Amino acid sequence: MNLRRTTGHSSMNMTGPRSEPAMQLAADSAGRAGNAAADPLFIARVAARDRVAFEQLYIAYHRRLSRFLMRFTHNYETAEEIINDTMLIVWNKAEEFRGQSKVSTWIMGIAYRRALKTFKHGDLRRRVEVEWVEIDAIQNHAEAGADEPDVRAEWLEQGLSHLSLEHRMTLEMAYYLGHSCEEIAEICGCPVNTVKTRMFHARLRLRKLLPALGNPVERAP
Amino acid sequence: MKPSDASGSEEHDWATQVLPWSVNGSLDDADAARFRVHLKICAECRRDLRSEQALARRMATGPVVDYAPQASFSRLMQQVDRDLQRTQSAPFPPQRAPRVEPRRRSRFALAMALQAAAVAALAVSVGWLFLRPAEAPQYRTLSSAPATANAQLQVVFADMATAADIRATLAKVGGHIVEGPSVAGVFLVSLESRDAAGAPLDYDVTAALDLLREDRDIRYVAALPEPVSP
Repeated sequence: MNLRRTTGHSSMNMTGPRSEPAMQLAADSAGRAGNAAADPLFIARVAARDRVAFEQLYIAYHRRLSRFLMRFTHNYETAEEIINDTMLIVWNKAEEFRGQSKVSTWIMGIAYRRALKTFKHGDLRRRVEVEWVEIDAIQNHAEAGADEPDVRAEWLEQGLSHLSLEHRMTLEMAYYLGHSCEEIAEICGCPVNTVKTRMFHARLRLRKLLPALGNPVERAP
Repeated sequence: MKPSDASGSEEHDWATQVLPWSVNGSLDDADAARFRVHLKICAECRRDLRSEQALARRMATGPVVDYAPQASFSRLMQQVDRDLQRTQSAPFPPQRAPRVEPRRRSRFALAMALQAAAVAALAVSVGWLFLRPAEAPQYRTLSSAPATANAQLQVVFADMATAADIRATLAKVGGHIVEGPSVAGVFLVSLESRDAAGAPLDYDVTAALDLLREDRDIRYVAALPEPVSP
């Protein structure tokens, strides 16, 4: 079964299945991508209305944000809307950035709040309910020994889509983006213990939703 | 096997909580070392760790569509430019207030200042309506000469400006208030296009703007686009 994706944009590059662990993605993605130490300088230049610096910052964060957001929405237009709203705030508020946090955490925090607002008011939940009926068939397929990457990936994604937004985002920020517990707390604007609790419940719920999670996952190369 | 003593149980609870960040490698050195010590004696955590490592790998696996960001960036900058134009055409220019005082103005003080400005603006407009000289009737016949379009200005007066100050200021450029104040305290000022005898005046909007901008009773002034003559 193929993943349903809305790709209403012509300028895209498709890369094949990736095998790198989340930690590599974190190291590879923007924020940590490029020279993280240069980020505050970029923000200072953006605050001075340097459009070239802003473009560089935008491009550096676009991939990280779009990959992350597309995991929730599968719709590039929605992801782009969130990214541009986020970067517009960065453009307008750059002069207020005082460096109390890392630039990547600051930008991710803006994106997180914007995404949460969009997803809670959008049709993400409706999509999840519609797809619920598919999960049994997918799980049966997985348990029967089907280990094609597409099936396993979609099976897992179905499980993830049934987590609450806060729980899933916490899980994705840790495993997909590689953020530390403290960084996630800063991004979400909540105490560290809340992040730990959310992560705990996310993992618990995922195991209940996908009781066979251990098998296909552990068979993964 | 899960440790049974109290301290071991506490350590297990701690390890369970930090396990995901051991998976993504973001634990600091001290916590990572402490976690490794616990792993040696806890089979449950070792099993959980394997499972979570596999989950993290699985989450990072799969087709990824990378979109070229230039088109999105162009759309964003178009929005930035639109916002900029809107701000520049707004009554108040986008210039930032210079920070001449290090102390922070309280919200209460700001609210009081705004309220005072609104009251002053209202008093000025009411006073002007009563005090300005009677004007000739504004009707004209079809045979009348076509009226020269008056230049119009948006003006915000200083909070402390009195009605007399405002009259004197506007008299310097042959202007009078035709509308206002708006919610933002903006008045619409029309520059006289004819003298008392009805002869067209040769006025210079730029010179009027320069004159008003130098006046301490004017906080902001800008010309509206030239009205189209009928």
